[in-house]
Amino acid sequence: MAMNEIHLRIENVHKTFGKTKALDSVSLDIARGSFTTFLGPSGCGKTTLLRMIAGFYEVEHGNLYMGDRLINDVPSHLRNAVMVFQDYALFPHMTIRENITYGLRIQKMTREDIEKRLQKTIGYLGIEALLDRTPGQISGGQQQRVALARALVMEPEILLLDEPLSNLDAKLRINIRAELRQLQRRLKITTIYVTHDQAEALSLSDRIAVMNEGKIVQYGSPFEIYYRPRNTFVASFVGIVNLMKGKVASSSSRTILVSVGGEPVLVVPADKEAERTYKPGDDITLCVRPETIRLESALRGQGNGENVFRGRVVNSIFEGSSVRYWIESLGMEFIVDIFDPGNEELNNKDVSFRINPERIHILPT
Amino acid sequence: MKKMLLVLLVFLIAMSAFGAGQGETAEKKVVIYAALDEKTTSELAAAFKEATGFTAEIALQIEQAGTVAARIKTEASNPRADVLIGGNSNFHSDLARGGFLQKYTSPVIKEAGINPNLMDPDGYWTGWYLGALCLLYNEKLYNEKIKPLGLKPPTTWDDLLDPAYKGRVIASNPATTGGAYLMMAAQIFRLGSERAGFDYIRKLHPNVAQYTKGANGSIPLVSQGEAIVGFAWGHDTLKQKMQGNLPIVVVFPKDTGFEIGGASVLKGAPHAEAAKKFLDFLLSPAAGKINARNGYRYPVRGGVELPAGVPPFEQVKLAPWDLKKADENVDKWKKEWASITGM
Amino acid sequence: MKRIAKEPFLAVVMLFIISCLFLFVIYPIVRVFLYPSGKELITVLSHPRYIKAIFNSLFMVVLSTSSSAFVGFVFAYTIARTDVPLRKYFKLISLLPLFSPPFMVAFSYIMMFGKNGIITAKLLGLSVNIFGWHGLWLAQTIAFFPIAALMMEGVLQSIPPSLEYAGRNLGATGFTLFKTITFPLARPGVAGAALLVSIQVLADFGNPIMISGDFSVVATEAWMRIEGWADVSGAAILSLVLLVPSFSIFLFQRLWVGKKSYVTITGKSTQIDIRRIGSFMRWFLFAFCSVFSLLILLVYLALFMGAFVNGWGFDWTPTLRYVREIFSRSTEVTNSLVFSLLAGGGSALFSMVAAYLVSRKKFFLRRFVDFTCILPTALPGIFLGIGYSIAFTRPPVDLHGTAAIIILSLMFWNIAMGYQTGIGAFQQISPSFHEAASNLGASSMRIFKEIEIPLIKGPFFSAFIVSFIRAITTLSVIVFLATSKNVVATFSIMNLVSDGFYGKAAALTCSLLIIAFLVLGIAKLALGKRFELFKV
Repeated sequence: MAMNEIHLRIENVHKTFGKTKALDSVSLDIARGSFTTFLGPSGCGKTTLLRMIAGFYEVEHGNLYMGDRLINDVPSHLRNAVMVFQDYALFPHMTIRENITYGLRIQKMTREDIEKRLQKTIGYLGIEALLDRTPGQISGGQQQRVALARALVMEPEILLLDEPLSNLDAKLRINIRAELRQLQRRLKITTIYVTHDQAEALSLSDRIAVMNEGKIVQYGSPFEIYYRPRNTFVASFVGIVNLMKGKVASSSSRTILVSVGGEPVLVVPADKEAERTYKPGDDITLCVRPETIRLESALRGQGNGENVFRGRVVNSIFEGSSVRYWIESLGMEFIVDIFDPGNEELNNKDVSFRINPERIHILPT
Repeated sequence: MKKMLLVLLVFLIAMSAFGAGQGETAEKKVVIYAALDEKTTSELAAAFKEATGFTAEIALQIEQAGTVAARIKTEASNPRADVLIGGNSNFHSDLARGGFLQKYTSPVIKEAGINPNLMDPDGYWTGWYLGALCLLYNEKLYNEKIKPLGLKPPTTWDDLLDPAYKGRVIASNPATTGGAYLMMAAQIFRLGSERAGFDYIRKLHPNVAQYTKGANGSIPLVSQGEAIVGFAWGHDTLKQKMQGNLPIVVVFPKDTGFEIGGASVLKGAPHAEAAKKFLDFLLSPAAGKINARNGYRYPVRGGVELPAGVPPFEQVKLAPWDLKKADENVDKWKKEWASITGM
Repeated sequence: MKRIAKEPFLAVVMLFIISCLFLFVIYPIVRVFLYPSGKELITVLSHPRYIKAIFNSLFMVVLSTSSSAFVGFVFAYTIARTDVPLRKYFKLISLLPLFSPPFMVAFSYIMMFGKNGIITAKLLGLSVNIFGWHGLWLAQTIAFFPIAALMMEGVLQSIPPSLEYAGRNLGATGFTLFKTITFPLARPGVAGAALLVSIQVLADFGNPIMISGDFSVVATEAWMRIEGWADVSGAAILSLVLLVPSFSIFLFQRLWVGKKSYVTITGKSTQIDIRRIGSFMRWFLFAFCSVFSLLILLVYLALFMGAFVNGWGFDWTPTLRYVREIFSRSTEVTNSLVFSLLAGGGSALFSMVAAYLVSRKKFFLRRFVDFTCILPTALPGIFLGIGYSIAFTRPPVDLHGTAAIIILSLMFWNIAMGYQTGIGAFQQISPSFHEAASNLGASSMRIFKEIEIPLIKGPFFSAFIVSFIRAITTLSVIVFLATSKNVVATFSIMNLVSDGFYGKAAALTCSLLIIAFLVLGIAKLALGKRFELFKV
């Protein structure tokens, strides 16, 4: 369906502020109706890219297309890409109603049409009661909804969200996150979302573009980003990860055997070409998520070909739905998340754990 | 913060020390508040020291007599100065009425045969110089704008009434300054009656470009060509013309008004005896000479050498003057003036 | 109270601040109030001349404040929000009128724009009468728009840029954006700045005394009561009359505008991205600012010329003899510099300490301190001068003829600016710094010294400079206090002007300007970006 149609094409875009390179040859295709997140640490260029799409910064080099149309020199308000700001940017001298209808009034829309649009939009967001107040009189969560309403009322082709949840408390953030995703699916608006919060990115997005130092490091689905990070930056920025450095011992058509800390680790790579890529003796980094590791019920020896290893629990914390253990083994410290654990105290005890060979990801070198 | 406060404290203490620094030790001195120009004042002080051995300390020197007299009033509960010199007699009369002066009549007046009419009838102030009112005109502008009309340079008060000068005369405002009041009074005394005097003012009014706030406001304005003619105190005008090479001509009209420059001893003066000595000194030929040379003022004592360019006193025709009448009618005449000019 | 008992030093400081305010602000004001008798009050107030002067003053306040605010806003907008060429130079030039010692700057308008003026008569062949309300309007607009511009620049910079981005993103461009977002947001700040300017217009006597002609305003009438008639009561009454609107404006500004301000201070300052504006607007702003900058330059050029030619207005032969005058007046110039530096420093120090106490501590008379620190804004200089002259020339505080009386009067006359800057700065400094330090065991004093002082260095020096400039260029405050022992340059300028020594007066004025600019330059070099003038 429409998902495959490219809505926004970013082609080799650059941007510098003074001497610092904010964007360094960024290219990206964003599909119509998709929810795309720019994820990265602060200063990675994600907000700059978003603002460039909004039309606040000029494109110094490269091209921006909306559909087939080159929009490099199209002013902000003619792009139909409406932005929700991190600080909401609600006009303090206007009521909520005036805030939301501001853009429509600028367009000189008739009063009835404005009212119709307003009613429709606030219906989605449940802010009917706030219309005659001013931004200073409503709570942070309400401000967030109003800011969203002000953008949605414009019926934008592209909705731009600049860390819209960062000023909210944790619980509210999770609620609004879910609402936002639901709303976006219902309205099918192409949405671009900027955040430094990987959990938010994973839970909301169809596609995530991980950025670092002005470059897009990886662009893919949340699953790909999480389980098949392209490099150590992505692997460690998104979620918690165990990185195992080792040497390829042997490789066959289905499996690769890697020596880590003197022990053989079996890997079943997703990549069918892996046999040709990794030759015995190659240095290699393996990436394992904590929740893919299981504790064995009984203590077992290691190196039995089933990826079961032995180690000592050096620390643990209780997190409610899970327990996180730090286990010394294979010359490193593994982080292991166990859901639904027993109430047995494991600190300073030896345990056996199993790493699912199909969940081990080989980081490309 | 401690340091900051310490700095602040030290600062304030240091300043009070500044204050404490002025000890009153030398008794052989007189402290002067002067409403004269700087040069005259300092030369008078030096000459006084030479003549009497008394130090004359000039504590305040401001050309504007009102400002000096005002200081005497605000400081009255703890007077610093002994004498006020300079400023027309009105300021001295005003101070006398307010009880800020003590009586003193110098024996020199009689000894030297000085006209007693130039002294305060009540005995508070001493007249020691005279200044006459003059006309001044801008020579270049006169030649450009007035001469072609066949008019002679202005030499009488009535010359200013010619329609050719419409909007080209600078006068002064009696409401704002005492000097200007005397200039207005001069018209009344000159013409012999209030009616005639105010009639003159009424006729002059259409020609007046501006009534300046100060008495001598016409000097810079005429010099710079803002207007063609004006009137001011002759001594000030001559002085400024000489020192600044102003492009103006100074004329003393046939019957003109004048001011009496006063000097008086302040009530509660710390050095009253020295102050009286200083007043005596002001009536001496030496003081008169200094005053005439620097300030172009006529000493009340005859026979003093005048600087070049100053017409001999006998040549300046003064209108009869009634000090008492001028003093008594201040409010009435100012009001009348205001109703005529609408100022 | 318990907490104060635990920190005795703090109590001493509070006591010190409160007693200083009583002694050096409240007491002289009371003395002026008590000086005239009731009968004199009625006589003066019923006099038609003064009633007219009151109306004239109010008329000029409306006129000059509006024009200063308008020109100031255009300058501020151009400097803060556009990429108009030369805007940095516009800002620099617009600083000049902040330094206008009385008489000579106003006088140079006559030289440039009078009947025989270089521009009007020589260049354009016009015969213009500059004297009157229109000349005064021009002079006051030029004199006061720079302060308005500086304050409004601060207001514009504190509008979060995201609001303008949002407006643009929602379809507002060019003038619509300005009309619907930028201006309404700036309006309370702009109004506040305008009201502060109006107080200065009201008290202005330097311009009207030279060029208002027969148009009289209260400030000059008060001055002339003294100079022309030695009438201290009349002057006191007229300056009381001046205090009424001045104080009302001040209260209105505090109570109404203060509350209406939208400008919220957040820790995060977003980088302002200067936008290209439409080319018509761009050239309009450029032309507008150029005209006013040119006007300023001409006026100050005339002043400098006056110092270097034989006879200002009639004999243009160059000469250096007036410049020599500066050296013979080195006592006055040195006094001016020293007194103003001390007054500026004292003022900044005092106001920062007071601002710290008010914004961080709860204590008895806190509101009194807050109010009294800003009160001097509403006091015309002549008012304070008369007050000090009555109050401090007799026991118990006898400072007659001392440097102290001049320094103290200038210091307390100027605490308001510094205090407001200080309050602003302490508000911006998050109390969490304070709490963190306190949590780590630091006493109030240590916190102030180690945490707050480094953070308020910038505001401190700004307050210092503003006070310094005002101190070194004022005459109205010190004319009642100066004697031959503590004479300052503006006092000598006054004497030179009334003696007809215009060239010397111009030279002396120029030397003051140069000194003030040097001090400003040094401060700017030393402090760089942290240095902001008149930020409200």
